[in-house]
Amino acid sequence: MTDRTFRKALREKTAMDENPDMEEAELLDGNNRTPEAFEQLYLRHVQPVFRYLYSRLGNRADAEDATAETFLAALNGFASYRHKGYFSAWLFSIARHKAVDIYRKDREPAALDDTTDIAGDVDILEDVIHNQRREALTCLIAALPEEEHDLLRLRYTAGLSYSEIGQLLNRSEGAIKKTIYRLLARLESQLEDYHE
Amino acid sequence: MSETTPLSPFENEILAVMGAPSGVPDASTAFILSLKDRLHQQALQDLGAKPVRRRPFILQRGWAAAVIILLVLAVTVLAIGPQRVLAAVRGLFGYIPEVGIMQEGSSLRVLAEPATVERDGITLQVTEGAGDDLHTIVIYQTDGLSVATANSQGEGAMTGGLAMLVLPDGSILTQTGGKGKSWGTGYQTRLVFPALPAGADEFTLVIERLESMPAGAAPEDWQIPLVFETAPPDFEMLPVYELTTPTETLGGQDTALSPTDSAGEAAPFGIQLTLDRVVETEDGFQLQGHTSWDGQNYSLVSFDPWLAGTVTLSDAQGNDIPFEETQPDYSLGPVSPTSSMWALKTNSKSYPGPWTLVVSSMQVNQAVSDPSAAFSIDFGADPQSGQTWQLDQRVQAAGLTLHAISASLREHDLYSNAVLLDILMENDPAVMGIGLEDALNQPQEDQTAAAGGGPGSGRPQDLQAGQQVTSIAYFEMPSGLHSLTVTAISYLVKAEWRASWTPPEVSSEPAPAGTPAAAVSPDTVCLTDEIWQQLSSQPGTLPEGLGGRLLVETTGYLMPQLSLVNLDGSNRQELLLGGWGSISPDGSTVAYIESDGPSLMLLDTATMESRQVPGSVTEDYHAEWSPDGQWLAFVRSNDGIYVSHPDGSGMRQVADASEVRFLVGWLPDNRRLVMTSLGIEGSQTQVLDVETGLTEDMFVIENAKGGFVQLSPDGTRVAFNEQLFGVPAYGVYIANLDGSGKRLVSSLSSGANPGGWSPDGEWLALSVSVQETAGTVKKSVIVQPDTCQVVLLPDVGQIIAWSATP
Repeated sequence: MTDRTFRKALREKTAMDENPDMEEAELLDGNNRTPEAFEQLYLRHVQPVFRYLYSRLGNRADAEDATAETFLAALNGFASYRHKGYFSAWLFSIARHKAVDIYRKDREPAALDDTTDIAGDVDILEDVIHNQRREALTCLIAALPEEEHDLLRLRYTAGLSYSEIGQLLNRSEGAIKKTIYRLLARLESQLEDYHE
Repeated sequence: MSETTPLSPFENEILAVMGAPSGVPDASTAFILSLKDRLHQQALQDLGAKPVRRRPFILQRGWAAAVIILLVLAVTVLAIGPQRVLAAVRGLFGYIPEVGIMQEGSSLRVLAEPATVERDGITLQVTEGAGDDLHTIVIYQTDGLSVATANSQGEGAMTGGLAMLVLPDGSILTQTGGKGKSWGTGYQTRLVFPALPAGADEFTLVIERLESMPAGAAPEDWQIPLVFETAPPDFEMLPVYELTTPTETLGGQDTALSPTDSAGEAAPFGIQLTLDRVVETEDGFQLQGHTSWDGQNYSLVSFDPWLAGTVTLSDAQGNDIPFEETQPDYSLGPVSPTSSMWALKTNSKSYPGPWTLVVSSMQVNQAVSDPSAAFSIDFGADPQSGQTWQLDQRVQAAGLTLHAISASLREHDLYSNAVLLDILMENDPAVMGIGLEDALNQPQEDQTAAAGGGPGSGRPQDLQAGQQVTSIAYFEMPSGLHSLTVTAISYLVKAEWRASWTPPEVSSEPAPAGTPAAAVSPDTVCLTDEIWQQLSSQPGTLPEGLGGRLLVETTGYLMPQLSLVNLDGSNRQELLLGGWGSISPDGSTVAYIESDGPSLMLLDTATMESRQVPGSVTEDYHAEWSPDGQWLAFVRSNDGIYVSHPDGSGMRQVADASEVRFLVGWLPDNRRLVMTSLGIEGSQTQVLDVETGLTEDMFVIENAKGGFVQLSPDGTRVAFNEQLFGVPAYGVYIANLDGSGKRLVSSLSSGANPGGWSPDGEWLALSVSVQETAGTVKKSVIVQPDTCQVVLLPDVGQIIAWSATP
């Protein structure tokens, strides 16, 4: 094929996939509950949902299962979903329940056939711990009560805004901000105490 | 995050630990596209909209072909009868190794010849391809990738991009699925696309970005022209057997049936297990089927093949056939809101038929609408955080008993007005989880979503066996009398869903090496689950004359605690916190690394003084001493393997980073190193002459992490890990250095790792994973492979090296 044909096809494909002009409100308009609308929402939210579930479940296989179940459940309720606030809040409420529902047995590191993430494989070369502070922070976060740990996941792993988290957890945006700020201050203080 | 305020430095630290892009990996492109396709198919049924407009012609043609095929099958069954349908439908589909299930006949097209493109030292080769009326498969592999480049933007950075087929007229077929394997400096991917239009035999594979590469790190927008041709008449495919025999189901024979046991119903609990087809592969069979259920009762039904006792596959003589779960071919369906597909694979064809698959437990999720399924709790007028109420109430839901023991309020400082009610429960053992709702729990003005209750997201503390915690989040502190209604329940149901299939007769073949099945005599595996159970919980008696000094590690805060201890656990000497410990042949010096340390370190075990290896850098780790103690070999992260005298002189690179390499150790001649290098087949063991640079390939270990190889002191044997088939654990194998004489030494289902050979090379130390109440712990055993004598050692820690007593 000619280079011109290729570039034209690539531009059209990119434009069709990104569809930047369709805001979330339009996608969730009651008259627009179509497979295409759901697909747009899926593409927008699949990575944050996956990251959040991976952070909770600790392995890719369970995270993929939970992600799939989350979106299947969301699709199941999509037609009757009443949009009020943030779609992400509804979606993550499903994801949090799916995370609890996963009871699969942990697997040993994958055999060569099932590995798709080269970065994850290469990580095994990095058993050398380079950052003592980072490791201490990791331990402090891991030791947090689950509710606080989950708050950090929603904010920093899933990338939700204070407003979205507030709607998800039935709290005002201000209350969420204040809580996270206090939590960060406490963690930073504990980290400094560790280094003293 | 949509706020515009930039993150504080500490928030960036938080992000580095747990956030994107560096703390948590992304979903792979292949997964995203595969799920997108699945959701799209589901959405077409649920929402009833038309297919995506941009490629209607392709989709319609493919599905029309599928409908025609199904009609042909239906007519065939009516005309011939079910018993003979097996042979009749076998000719419609075939299996091409690596490619998958494809239609046989004139619609099958295959890649005319491989195609290769090279850019900036990276090679991309399309090795296989095929297309039929349902889909198009393209398999490609890359090599020459840089591990450092792959990680240049953090281990969680977005990598990869979409793949598409661009036809001469400019129309595009977008990737709908994919799966691959990687080995550090390369990867192989199987891409799935919709079916090609008739006559479109020349097209271009376009890959926006290589799977392992972040944006801008490597050449992008790869274009590979491909040509497909009609498969020749003698093109060989392995058979696919489409089954029409209904699944047989039986009830349990146990007279003490719980309400979740059935008794002889055709579809107990409204759940049907169907074996749809069996695919013959190169080394075994794939059983593909689906589970379907009554959508009025359940929202989801599934079974877990890894859950002990849930699934068995046996041959005509009742022997267990090892199997693993694998991915079904979703393009063949069925896909519906009340069914889910499953697939199992075996690694042998030699078990005599008929084969019988039995699933004895399914997990069902069910909504509950019984108002009597509710607990009551009187909070009183002024409840306080920390207050506990004894409930001792029992209700029934879905025929199961739910017992609420007590409830306690927890006002967390996380939310100024939030209150959590934790209900301690001891339910029917079949219950996996429940959902609770309090109708009086209403949102305030600034709260928009309904609170609910479910299995507590916090880790249960101090629970006894059979207990679980279910929590409800309240908008404000409750008071007075409340009713907690069960709204959903998840539980196990038991029956015997059974399917049978008779494989074609094949010539007898030896059982796969190391398979822990009835085909292998138990005597050839020294450490099995049964033998482990028989070992006394107390350390065994060491054979007379057997001793030595162990270098061990135990869990430390950031790095392991390294210690020296005798084989019998006596004379323990704590050394220091350090990783990758390696002891010199005379026992005088331990090489190690520190957390965030500057270089390789050497510890004098007599004076306990440490010094750096001059010239070593912070990327250096995993040192191995030569037998004469004159050399250290070590790994430099992303820069291959180096050697050096302990005083830093003579330091030089002996193997580059063109492959991901793992260091094993020195051979007795103090000149050659044993290492493993990752490749498409697994971990290739190699012998490297450090003087000449010549490398000799030995054999391949099927392990994506180097194999955890331990070299015997005389250099003639190796111990290593390979995945056990049918068990989610590593087995320990031994073999001669050239790979001959391979045999399985440990088949423990909990996993074991080789920890080092005895100085005389007769014994092998193993680190065994044991599940205890507090979690997984490591135990140490020594095994004499030639006699299969096994001795449990005291809790010395994880054995790293075993040297002679000084």
